[in-house]
Amino acid sequence: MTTTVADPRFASGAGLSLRLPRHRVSPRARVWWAARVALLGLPLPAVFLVLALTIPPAATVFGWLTLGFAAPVLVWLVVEPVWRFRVHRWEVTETAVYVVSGWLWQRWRLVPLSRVQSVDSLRGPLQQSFGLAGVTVATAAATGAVRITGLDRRCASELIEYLGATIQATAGVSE
Amino acid sequence: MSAPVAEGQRGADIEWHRLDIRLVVVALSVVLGPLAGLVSIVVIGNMGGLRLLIAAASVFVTAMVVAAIVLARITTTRFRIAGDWFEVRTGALFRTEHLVPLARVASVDITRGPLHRLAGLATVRVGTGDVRASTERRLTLDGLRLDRAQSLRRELLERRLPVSDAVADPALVRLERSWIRYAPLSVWGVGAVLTAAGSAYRFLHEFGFGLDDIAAVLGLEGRAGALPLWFGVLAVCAGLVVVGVVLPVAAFVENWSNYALDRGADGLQLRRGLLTTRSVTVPWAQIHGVELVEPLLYRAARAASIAVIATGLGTVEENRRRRRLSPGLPRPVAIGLADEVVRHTVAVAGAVLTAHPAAGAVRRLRFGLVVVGCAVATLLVSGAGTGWTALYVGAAATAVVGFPAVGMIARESHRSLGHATIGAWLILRAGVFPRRTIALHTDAVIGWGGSRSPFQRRHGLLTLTASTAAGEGAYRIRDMSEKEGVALVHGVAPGILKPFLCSSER
Repeated sequence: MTTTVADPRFASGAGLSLRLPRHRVSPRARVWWAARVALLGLPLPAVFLVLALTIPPAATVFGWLTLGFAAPVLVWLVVEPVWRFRVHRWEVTETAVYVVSGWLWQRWRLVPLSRVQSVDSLRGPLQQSFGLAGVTVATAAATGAVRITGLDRRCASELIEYLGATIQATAGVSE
Repeated sequence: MSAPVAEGQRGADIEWHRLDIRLVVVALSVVLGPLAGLVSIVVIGNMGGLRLLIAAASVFVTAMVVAAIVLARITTTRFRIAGDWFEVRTGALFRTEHLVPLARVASVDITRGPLHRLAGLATVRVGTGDVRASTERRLTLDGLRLDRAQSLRRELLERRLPVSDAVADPALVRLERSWIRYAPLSVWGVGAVLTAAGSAYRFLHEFGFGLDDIAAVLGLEGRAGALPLWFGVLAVCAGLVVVGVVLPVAAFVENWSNYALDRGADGLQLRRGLLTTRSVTVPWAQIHGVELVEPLLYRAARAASIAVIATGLGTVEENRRRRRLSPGLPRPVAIGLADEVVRHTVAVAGAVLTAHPAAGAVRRLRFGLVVVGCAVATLLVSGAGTGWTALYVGAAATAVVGFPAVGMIARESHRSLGHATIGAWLILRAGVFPRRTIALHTDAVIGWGGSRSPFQRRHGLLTLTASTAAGEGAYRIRDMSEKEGVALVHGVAPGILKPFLCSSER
């Protein structure tokens, strides 16, 4: 456990706030998130649309159902990727990993590198098709994994190499 | 540390040990339940012929299969301590060899069920702090003779820890019979009855015995229609209450007889159990905190129980089952025990906790009102749709009972929120059913996180999460002020936070 004395400027605690991490994720991540929303939300209105077109007597009912389900999905399709891109940020220093993610619900995670046990790459099929990848940083805590998703593939592999080398060097050293 | 002994170098003095053959008898007990059910049906009713034959045959086949599986396990499982390693080999078709360095052995528990006790056997579970479920299973040796199990535990633990002097007064607490009065205050007694009844019905249904057959067997057929409704309801309620009291008391007797908590040289030693005896040692190095648990009804009776926050107890689910250190105790006794677990470095219950901003209460209240509102609205709409007055009555009752209840729960929930950092300890408190006061040592905190919902962002609130390898894995301080959250992390771990603070402050 460190014995650094707390910075007297911040001793009172009143003036403290976390700044944002330095890096954004890849701009292509917006397309990936939009694709995810589309896959989740569009099938149902699509089914209603097909039914409206193929069953003329019930066309008005299914037409309204299609509209009712499609409108919020279309709004969601536009809002979530833009908002997420503004919120998702990450930063890796020599001592810690700091990640902010989310859109409606936002969360930040901070893990010192000395407690990191393993670094893995995250490659879901949808992410990969956009040339993106993610990084998972795992600790001894069962639920303590920190994920950075939506990174450019090359950037992700460089980050994994860097993290792998750094945790080897700092293993067992307390912060 | 020496390398593990390879297959070819196995010396004559390092022999393999096996499980005991009496395990087969214990395993066959699994068919006793269905067998008893079958026998009772034959005796009481007059079910006969083909259905009975099929049921009996399936019970017999199950018994044979169980015996074969257990015999296979006995012949293929071997274990030994060789050099600085604990080796376990299992499996016939897929051979698995598990090697654990003795330095990594975290805990060794001995459990004995009632049938194990009759057969003189015990189950040994070796914990290595690995949270994966598969590892826990492999290192569970079921069916050792008791003396072998105890000597195994001694060998595993003594080679790992340095020998230290015995503690002067090890005994912390012994069972007092009067604590049985807290047992019925648990609300799960009724649920357990319903679950058991459901399982029994399902089993009988599999063999074609339906409700009619059961009613005929119990002689209820003609009489059920003649009883007035209020009598039936009253009888059922009385039955549930009686069972809700009898079952928890029986569970208390089974779980907490011979309860003893000792402060040993290697760690906390817990012994308990009547039919199934459990003996658990949690080494001091793995204890990172303690939790004071006060369910709603316990609070009314000024009672509480404690649990240990430790690593090395298995997966998160296993940890939940094994971390309980006490039954319901009078609150002062529980607090004294909690202080013992943290070795008096902090007063767990006596700390003055910072209250959380009032916006948290508003958040809980809104959530509760929405839930009750939806329930009432659903009832009203379905009442309008079907025209039953019972639904309107139900909606009115839900509103009359629900809204004040929600208000009280929201207020209690907000009042129980609190946190503090005292030295190297983080104390947090939350919850209504139950209220938990958690003392966690900050050295055990691996990482920090915060999450904010849209409501929390608007009101400057934050839910701070401390992730740790011990206990639940993540402990949350909900709805605290955002600035205090950052200040708390800064106070506890200034080194990690400093690079990420705004440099333009003050």
